[in-house]
Amino acid sequence: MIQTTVSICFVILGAAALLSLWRVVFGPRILDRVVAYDTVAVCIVGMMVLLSVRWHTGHLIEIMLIFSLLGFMGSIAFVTYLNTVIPRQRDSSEAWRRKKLAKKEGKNQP
Amino acid sequence: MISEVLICALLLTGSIVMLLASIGVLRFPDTLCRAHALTKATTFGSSLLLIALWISLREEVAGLKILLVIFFCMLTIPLSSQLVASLYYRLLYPVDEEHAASATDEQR
Repeated sequence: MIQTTVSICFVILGAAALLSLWRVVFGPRILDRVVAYDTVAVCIVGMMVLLSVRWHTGHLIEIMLIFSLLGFMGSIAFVTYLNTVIPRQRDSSEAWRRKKLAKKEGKNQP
Repeated sequence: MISEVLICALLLTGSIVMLLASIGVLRFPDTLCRAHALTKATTFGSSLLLIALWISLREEVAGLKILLVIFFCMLTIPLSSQLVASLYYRLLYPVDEEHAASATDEQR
């Protein structure tokens, strides 16, 4: 009974990871990709739980801890990097500079 | 027998909740909505799966380690989602440098 349930749960978690991978590949913005990457990492931790239930071992628990730490650190690293990079990109882009100039002229007119 | 039924119910519920989180990440229109769908459902689902593992293993030391993993998941997933949401919010409503500078000048 438990083996059948574990197989069904493997299928469900694999479908969840594939749906999130779709969002990683075709995400419109980069923050969507970061969010979907976090989902994929947690799905893989859930698959490790299922493997551990099937094999009746407790040796995978440390690996779960390390893998959830890896997902968290990857997401944090992405957010910190984007936090420093995106304002510079915005300042150096031509459209943003033009928008800012138009706003300044509109403020000076009245 | 009762523990088997409990393990099966917890495993199925946890994986279905994580599938719902993934469908939410796929279907919602905005980054804030996606982070919202991710955070709560994923924490809940992974906690359910780990509790099922705890019932299945029947060891005290493994139970303590599983409690550590659950605590770590509850600590890290909302934190990373909050960072993503705050960065997206600052991208949506950028701080105008001149306004900020004039406000500080008036305060002086």
